[in-house]
Amino acid sequence: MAKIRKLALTSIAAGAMFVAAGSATAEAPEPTPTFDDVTVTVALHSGAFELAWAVHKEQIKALYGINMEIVGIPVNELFDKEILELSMGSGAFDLVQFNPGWMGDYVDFLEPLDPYMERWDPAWEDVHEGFRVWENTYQGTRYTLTMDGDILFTYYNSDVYENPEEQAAFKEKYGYDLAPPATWDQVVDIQEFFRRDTDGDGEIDSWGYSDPIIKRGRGFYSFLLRYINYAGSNPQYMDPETMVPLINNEAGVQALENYKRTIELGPPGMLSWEWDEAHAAFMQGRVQTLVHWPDEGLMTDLYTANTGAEMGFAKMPGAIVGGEKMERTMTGGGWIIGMSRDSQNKEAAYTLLRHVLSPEVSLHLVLMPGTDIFRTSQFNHPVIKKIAPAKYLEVYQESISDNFPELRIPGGFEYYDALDVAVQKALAGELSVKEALDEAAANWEEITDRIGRDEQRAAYKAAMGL
Amino acid sequence: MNAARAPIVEVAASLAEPSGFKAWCRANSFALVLLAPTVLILLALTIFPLIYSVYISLFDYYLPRPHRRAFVGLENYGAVLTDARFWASMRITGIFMFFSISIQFILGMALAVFFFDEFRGRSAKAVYLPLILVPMMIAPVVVGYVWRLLYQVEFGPLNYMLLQIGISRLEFTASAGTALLSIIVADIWQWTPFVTLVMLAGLVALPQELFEVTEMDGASTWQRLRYVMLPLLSRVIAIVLLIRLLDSFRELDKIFIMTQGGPGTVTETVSYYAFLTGFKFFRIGYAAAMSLLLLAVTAIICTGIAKVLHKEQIFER
Repeated sequence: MAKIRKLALTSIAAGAMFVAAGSATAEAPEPTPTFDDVTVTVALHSGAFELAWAVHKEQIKALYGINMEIVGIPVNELFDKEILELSMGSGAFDLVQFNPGWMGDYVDFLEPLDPYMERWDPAWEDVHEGFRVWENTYQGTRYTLTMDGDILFTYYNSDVYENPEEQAAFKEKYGYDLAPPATWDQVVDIQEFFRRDTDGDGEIDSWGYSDPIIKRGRGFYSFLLRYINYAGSNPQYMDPETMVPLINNEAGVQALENYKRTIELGPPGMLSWEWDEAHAAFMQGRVQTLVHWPDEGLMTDLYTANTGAEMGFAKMPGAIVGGEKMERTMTGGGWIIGMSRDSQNKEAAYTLLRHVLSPEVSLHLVLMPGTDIFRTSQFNHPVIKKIAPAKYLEVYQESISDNFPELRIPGGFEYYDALDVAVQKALAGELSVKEALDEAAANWEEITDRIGRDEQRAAYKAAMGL
Repeated sequence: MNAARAPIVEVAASLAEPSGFKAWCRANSFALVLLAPTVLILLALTIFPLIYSVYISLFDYYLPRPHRRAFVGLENYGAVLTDARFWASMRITGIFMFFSISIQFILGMALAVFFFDEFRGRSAKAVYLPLILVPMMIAPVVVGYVWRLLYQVEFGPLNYMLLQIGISRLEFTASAGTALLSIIVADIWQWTPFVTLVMLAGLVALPQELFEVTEMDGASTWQRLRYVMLPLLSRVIAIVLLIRLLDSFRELDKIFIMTQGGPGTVTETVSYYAFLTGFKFFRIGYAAAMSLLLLAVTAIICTGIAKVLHKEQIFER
């Protein structure tokens, strides 16, 4: 006991000396403000996020005098409900959770956070660079903080991949070593190789690969994941000067043909798979390789219990273009949070935001289901290192660095929907790959003209950091 | 002198009395007070939104850029009428409505006759009837989830049963060929009980002596249906069809849950497309124009049915 007391006193003294030294050399940080019974309303994706944030209600009230009101909104309604409130200037929400891909439509309704961040640092540099650049910053201004470190990478059944018999059979058939797919071309081989009837009942019950989501709604991401790699060293959604769509070029056709072939060789009904169906197929051992968000990496015990095998981790498949290996991935959604321009309690809202997403408090969030790691300090935290495989953390961090931005321009949702419909038509065999992409491109042109080509050009350049 | 003053007195008296409208209001003041809340609610929730929809349909209004709202006249209407996706969704809605309502009607009528014949005056009806009404008591969203699970390709009970009888799996909602049919089946399951219920109520309300007479004359079930029940139930049939027609036209929930309009656009009905346009793409003026055109289509259908009913003297009885 005496030892603990001595250690505590020593720590406090050391801390005091550190603060004193700091104040002698640099300007002291502005103290965090407190408020008198102010209410801050936060619009959150209902379910896991809502529950994780609600845990901190009492602490926020005690520390800052802020009442945190959480409005949980089902994920499919988040975009429409928030935009309706924001565009009406109702001030109903002080803080809004949204997808980085919607930034183009949200930005006019958001309060720039730079002035607040300069006064009260949210440990900005600790947020992983891939998120800071491509999620939180827009046209050189900081508008949001990442609240969920989504990024897509590869999971695989390492026992199957390391089986000498499988390795020999694969090498004989395809002429190269069996390994987690490094390119999208290899994904098709993997899909085909593991496509088999394992119990001899005449039904195929094992497959090689699943995309994260295939169903209409977000299935277009699986096309984009391929496109951004097949497109070579400078992938673009559109020509930055003319805003002519590029998704129907040769790289786009290659990407969609690859996607279509993967689905054709995949499990029956795959075209209607949501993320949970892809997740279940992998976790139950029916699919040997999966591209998904970071959640599965913390479920290795469950995976081993289900399949008797170890879970492996690898970066997203890429493409070799002109002899150069492309290695890009996307968040495929992800979640960020910003402050409404019409908030009546901006300082209080920022204080709440800064508190919940601080390195210390957000560590609790990422230890709960639904929120993924997004700060460097979280990757290095002993608790995280204890519960997460080292290889998983390594692949996860590398993947964030490979993050390719979403289409963060006004009308982003409509552009994505037009692409989604076209991709679905190709996958379902309604249109050929080229016809489908040409249709998507024509719709993109129409959307660009309607919103305004010049405005879209400026927004696109800003969003892509050009 | 007196004769000259008389008209003046009448005029003065008439001026002192309340005018026609005022007098009417005074005479009906109690009724007006009772009606006022309903009228106000109707104005606020129905009339004003309708007028505002007409107004907003004349603008190019993209909600995330409210400051750029521009008057475009009837341009949105023209754009909707030349929108290939709109017409494709109308075609899908037509197919959905035709098959869904036809089969619901046939099955609903058959069930109603069955219940009427088999359980006439028997307490067993009280047990079986509520059971078949369960589907229509479930929220459409829940129906969507239930059928999504039933249709699940690998583990769904329907595919399990197909495999048991030696038929290979069907990709119900995942295949362009079967997705719309799958939604139609779910809709039939949900709404056939409604048709049954209303038809049965109609049958019970008919003079029972007629059925006794036809039975005594040896009429077959088909003859009784064709020559007695259907003609006498024409009013009920018309109302059932009208309600189902309007409901089917705005079907959204099950499509949203089961397919989100996919694969491709094979299950994208016009209601779903209007929902996407208004609440996902936020093309408010365009969506308002589309909704008003749909309102016109619905009104034409209703007027057509009403005319048929008048011709049959159904509304006039």
